[in-house]
Amino acid sequence: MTTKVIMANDLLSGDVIFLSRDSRSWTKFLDQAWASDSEQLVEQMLAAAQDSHMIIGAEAIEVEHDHTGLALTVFREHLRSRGPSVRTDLGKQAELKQAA
Amino acid sequence: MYRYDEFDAEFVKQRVDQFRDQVQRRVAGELTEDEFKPLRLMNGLYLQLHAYMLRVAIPYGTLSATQMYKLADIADKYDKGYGHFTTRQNIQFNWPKLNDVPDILEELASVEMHAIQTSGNCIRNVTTDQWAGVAADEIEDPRPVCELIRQWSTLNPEFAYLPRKFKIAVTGSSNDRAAVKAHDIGIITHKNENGDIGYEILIGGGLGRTPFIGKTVKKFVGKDRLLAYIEAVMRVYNLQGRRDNKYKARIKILTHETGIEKLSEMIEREFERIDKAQGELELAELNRIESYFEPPQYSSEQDDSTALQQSLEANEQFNYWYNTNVAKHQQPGYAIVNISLKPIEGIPGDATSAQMRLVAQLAEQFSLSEIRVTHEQNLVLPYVKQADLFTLWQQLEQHDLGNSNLGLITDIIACPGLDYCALATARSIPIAQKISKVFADRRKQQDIGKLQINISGCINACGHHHVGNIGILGLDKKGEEYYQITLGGNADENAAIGKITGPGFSKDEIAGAVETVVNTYIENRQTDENFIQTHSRIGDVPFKEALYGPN
Repeated sequence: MTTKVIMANDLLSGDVIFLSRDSRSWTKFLDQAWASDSEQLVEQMLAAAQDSHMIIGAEAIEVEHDHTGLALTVFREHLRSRGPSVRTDLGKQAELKQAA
Repeated sequence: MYRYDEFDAEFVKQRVDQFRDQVQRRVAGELTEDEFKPLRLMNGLYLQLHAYMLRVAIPYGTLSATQMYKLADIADKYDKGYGHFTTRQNIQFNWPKLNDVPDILEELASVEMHAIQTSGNCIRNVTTDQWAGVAADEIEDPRPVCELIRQWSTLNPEFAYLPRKFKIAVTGSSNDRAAVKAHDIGIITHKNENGDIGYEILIGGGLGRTPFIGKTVKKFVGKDRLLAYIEAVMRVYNLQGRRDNKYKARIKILTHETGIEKLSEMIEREFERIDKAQGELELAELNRIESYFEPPQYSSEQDDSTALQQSLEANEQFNYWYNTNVAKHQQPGYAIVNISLKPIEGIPGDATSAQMRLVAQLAEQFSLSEIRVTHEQNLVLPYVKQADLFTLWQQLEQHDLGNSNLGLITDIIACPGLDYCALATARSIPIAQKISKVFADRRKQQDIGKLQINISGCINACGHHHVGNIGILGLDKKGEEYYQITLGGNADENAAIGKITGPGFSKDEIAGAVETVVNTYIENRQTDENFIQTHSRIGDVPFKEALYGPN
C-alpha cells in the first residue's frame, strides 16, 4: 500500500485543498495534509470528503516521503498543489513564498 | 457594432438572476455538484487545475472600448489583474470565486456581455475574420451573418442539447483568416456571376483527437436561405450524430462515417422541408442587423502620407512594426493595426488589466472606440488613420505592446496547457516561451518569414496544433511531458492537417527540434519561398532526416 492524501477543490474558492492532519478540516498546503498508507482509512476519509457539499472532486492521491516531508509523485498533481509554473507569483506557491 | 435590444437585455439579465439563485442553492447544499455542474458550464464557469475559470463570450471577436474597460475592471476586482484571450476570440479569467461570479455576470451584462454559449453541447460563440468590415480583400462584412446566427442559436430549444459542442466560423473574404475549414460549419462568402452575394457551406471540419478539414456541402446558398440551410445541417446532425461515444459525437465523425454525398442528400431533403417564406423574415432581420454594421463616418480629410513616410524613414523600429503589424484597410487613408500579445518569452494571449485599459484608451483615441480579438490571440484596432500610426505605435511601445512579430515565428498560438487546464497532459506556455527565446532576434524572425507555430497541451487541440505550419502536441509519457511535432498544417484557405514527424521530444529538447526544422527550411528554401511552400515542395523527408537522422 502506498501513502495517500485526500485532495479536492474548495467549493467557494475553487482552491486545491487537502484533508488536514486533524482529518476534519481542510488545508491549502500539502505539508499540513493528513496522509495514510492504510487503504481502509483512505477509503473512509475519501467517502466522508465526497459527502461534504462544500468539497468538489475529492480524490485519494499518491504521495511519497522526501526530505521536505510529503511530495506528490505525479507532475500534474504537483502543479495543482503549487500554481502555474509560468506565474510563480500566483497560486499557493506565491503564498508559501510570502510566508517564508 | 451591434447593440442589445430590449429582448437581449432582458434575456441576459434573467440569466444572471437565474445563475445567482443557482449558486445560492449550490452553496446551501440544495444542489449537488452533479446537478450544478451543467448549470455553471452553461454560464461559462469551469473548474480548472487551480481554481474556477470564467470564459466570457466576445461575439465574433468584436469589443467596444467600454467593454474592454469593463474586462480590465473585472480582472482587477474579481481576478488577479489579467485575462487570457483565447483561440476562439473569447477571454478567460483564471481565478474567480464562485460567489463572485453572479456579480461578474451582472457587470458584464451592464456592457452587453455574457458568458453564454462558451461551454456545453450547444452552438458556441460564432467566430470570424478579425479584420471584418475593414479588410481590403473583403466581399462582405461577415459580422451581420455572425450576429444573425448568434441570435438564432441563443436559447434555440431545438439545439440546446446537441450530441456535442458545435462551432461555426464565417469569412467574408476568399483569404481565410478565420480558419473556417477547421470548424463544424465553415461559411465562405462568394459573389456569383450575377453579382449576388451568397455563401459556400462546409461541414465536418474540426481538430481534437480526430482532425478533419471541412468539406463543401453546398456551393452557393443565397442570403434569404442561409439560416434555413444551417438549420437543415443542424437538424440532420442532431438526429444522426452519435450520442453513445463523446469522442465520436462531432459532426466531423458523422461526415466521415456517412460520406459527404449521402449527408448532403439528407441535408437537402431537410432544407426543402423548411418553409421558404421563412427566408423573407430572416432577410428582413439580416437587413436590420446590417444597419448596426454600417461603415463608420470616415474622415474626409485628405490622406497626408508625407508625415507617415518621414516617420518610417526616420525610425527603423517603427518601420519594422509598420511592415509587420499594419494591414491594408479598405478605406484610403486608414490602416488596420494588429497588436501582438506575444512578447518574447511572454504568455501568448495574456494581457494585464493595465494593457487592456491602454488598448481601450487607444481605441477611443484612434479607432472609433472599437477593438477586435483574433483567434491567433492578438488584438486589432480596425479604424486607425495612417497619420496617427506613429503616435499610436509610440504608446504601444511604452506599454510592452509594440511587439513587431505578427505572423512570424514568435507569434505562437498556444493553449493554457497544464499550467491551468484540467484536461491538459503537458504544458504549452513554457514551450512557447522557450521557442520565442530561441528566435528572439528580430532580423532572424524577419529572415525566416511567415511561419505559424501552434502548441496544444493535449489531444483536444485548443492550440490548433494540427493546422500549425509547425504543430506541437504535448503529451504525458509515463509521467514525463513530451512533445510531438507535426509539419505542413495550415489554417487558411489552403487548410491542411499537419503530419507527425516521428517520435516526440522531451521538454528540454523540443525548442532545439523546432530550430532544426527551421534550419532545414532555410537550407532548402528557394527565393521568396515561405516555410509552408518549401515544405510542400520538398515534403517531410528532409525534415525527418534532420530531426532523427537518415532512415
